Amino acid sequence: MTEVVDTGIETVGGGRQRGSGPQGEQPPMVRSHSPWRMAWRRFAANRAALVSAGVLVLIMAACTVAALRPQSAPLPTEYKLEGAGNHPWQPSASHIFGTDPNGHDLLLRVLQGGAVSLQVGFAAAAIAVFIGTFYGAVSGLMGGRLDRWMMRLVDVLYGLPYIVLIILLLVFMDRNFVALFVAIGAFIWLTMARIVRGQVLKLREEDYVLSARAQGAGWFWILTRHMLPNLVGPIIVCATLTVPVAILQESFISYLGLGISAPMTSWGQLASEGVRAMNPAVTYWWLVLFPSLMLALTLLCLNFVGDGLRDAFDPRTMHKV
Amino acid sequence: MSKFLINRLLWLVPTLLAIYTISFLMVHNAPGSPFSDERAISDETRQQYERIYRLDQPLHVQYVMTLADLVTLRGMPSMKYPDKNVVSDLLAPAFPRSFALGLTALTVAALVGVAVGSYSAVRRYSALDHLFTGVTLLGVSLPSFVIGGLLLMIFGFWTQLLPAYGWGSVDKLVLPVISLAAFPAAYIARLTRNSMVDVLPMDFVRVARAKGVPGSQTIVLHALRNAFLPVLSYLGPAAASIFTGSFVIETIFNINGVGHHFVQSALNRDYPLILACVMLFSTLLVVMNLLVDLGYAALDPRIRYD
Repeated sequence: MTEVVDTGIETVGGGRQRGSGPQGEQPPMVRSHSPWRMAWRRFAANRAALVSAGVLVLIMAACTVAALRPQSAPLPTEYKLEGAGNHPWQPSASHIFGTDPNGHDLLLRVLQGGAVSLQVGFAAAAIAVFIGTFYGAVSGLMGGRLDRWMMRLVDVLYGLPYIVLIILLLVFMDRNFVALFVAIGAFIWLTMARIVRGQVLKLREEDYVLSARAQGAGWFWILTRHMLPNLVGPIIVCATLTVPVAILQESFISYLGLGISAPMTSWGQLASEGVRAMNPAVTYWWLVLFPSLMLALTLLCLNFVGDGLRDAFDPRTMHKV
Repeated sequence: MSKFLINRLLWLVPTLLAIYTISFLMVHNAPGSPFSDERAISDETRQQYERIYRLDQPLHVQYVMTLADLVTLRGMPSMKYPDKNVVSDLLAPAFPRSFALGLTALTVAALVGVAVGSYSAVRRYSALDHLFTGVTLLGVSLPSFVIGGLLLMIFGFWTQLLPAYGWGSVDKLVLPVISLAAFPAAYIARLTRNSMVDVLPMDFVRVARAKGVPGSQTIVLHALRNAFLPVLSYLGPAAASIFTGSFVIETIFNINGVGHHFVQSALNRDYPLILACVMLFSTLLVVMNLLVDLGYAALDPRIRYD
């Protein structure tokens, strides 16, 4: 890795960069040549990831605007008369995505659904970050018997067909946001816990951790001061890749009919309604296609960003970029 | 090796017992009752039901007796369909279907995924590699009901090239197999590409080339043999979940498999069926993981279990 010469972007002087720096792809305001700066450079050099991040921001903005509009906007009368019931309108100039079976504009519905899907995805990622990091760090730091039992529990939870348990959880809770978050979050943190534990185990053996211990540093200090900055990369990457997984799980739950209830909707909900409305006589292709396209586009972008972040943070791949 | 095998087989027992205990407790502590959404039933009938399903017994007695039923594969009467036995009437007839469909799909996925991933790694940054990267990313980004729904719409309804529903002949298998294999194939391709990219620059590959081993042989026998290990660890859990059926694919293509029971049992609070499904999946999973470990030792002689 050759030193990158800083081009003189304004820096905020003083304090040294700590683990709790700014998150995400934003360039953190730090001194030049910090690991953050270099990671950002590698990320920005990856055009697919950068474009994907831009598209994601656009999608999120559009979904937010749509979600803030009144839930059930009054429909033009003609649509209520003709488009109501079982015959959605085909895509046309005034409704480029067509309408759903109730005569609502499908574009608006798709964007409103996107807001729910994205919220589910990001909430699941947040749950994974909090529970997974804590669990993995404790397991890795404590080591010994506690570590073995904690990881055995993760193995056992992995061994359960989680969809059965998610359904049980959902059936017994009301169909609302919180229920969805709890059901998806209950199992989503397992991967994160494994990754963080593996990383902590590796970092434990590093010389600088040994040096800190020799100087009498406590475990909490070592964790927050020495390990966390090295953990942030893998955690961000794993969190980014958790979002698509959670969105897919939500779509599956919607397909089972246990998803968010009307008038709220989600991409999974819209797409599965489209799939269920299909029969050999008529297929309302736009009901399936447009929600799926948005879902796929978003997940594609998230995966590209996740791959880009992995390349940016993983020193092993430095030479490849 | 045999010591390792015995050790691992012995560990299966407490693992499965732990899974059984967790699911038993979850199922029995869930609020509501399987009879609550039926029409109002008399107290007498309710008591009769509770006797049949041993709900009148103390919890630990239920725990032991249900376990005994599951271990001896006797099963129990289903709570939703009281005249049907969970194991012999519901799961046993459906499992071969799901297993056949799953095995075909997983084989297709592994072959396609490994081939595509290896090609992408060997011809990195070529036009085809970029195309494959896009297609495989799309494959892991689409829910299976969307893939299944679109395939059904295009081939089953519009062009009518393939039968849309049913079971029993090869042409009826095509659409469900593709829909079921799409995600694992894309995932395996991505795994293979990543690990091949790591393996290909290694010294032993270069040595093989220097010795004059033909290119294709170097890639398959030397590089792929090492790069396959991460795919192998994915195949274990994937096999367990694919062999136990997919609710989505089974409903879209109207196939009577076990995936249906997994979902319906939980929706109906059919306790015996839930437990039987969970244990079927978990047993398959631990067995598959054991096979994966043995496969590791077979592929990589450095790995020894003793």
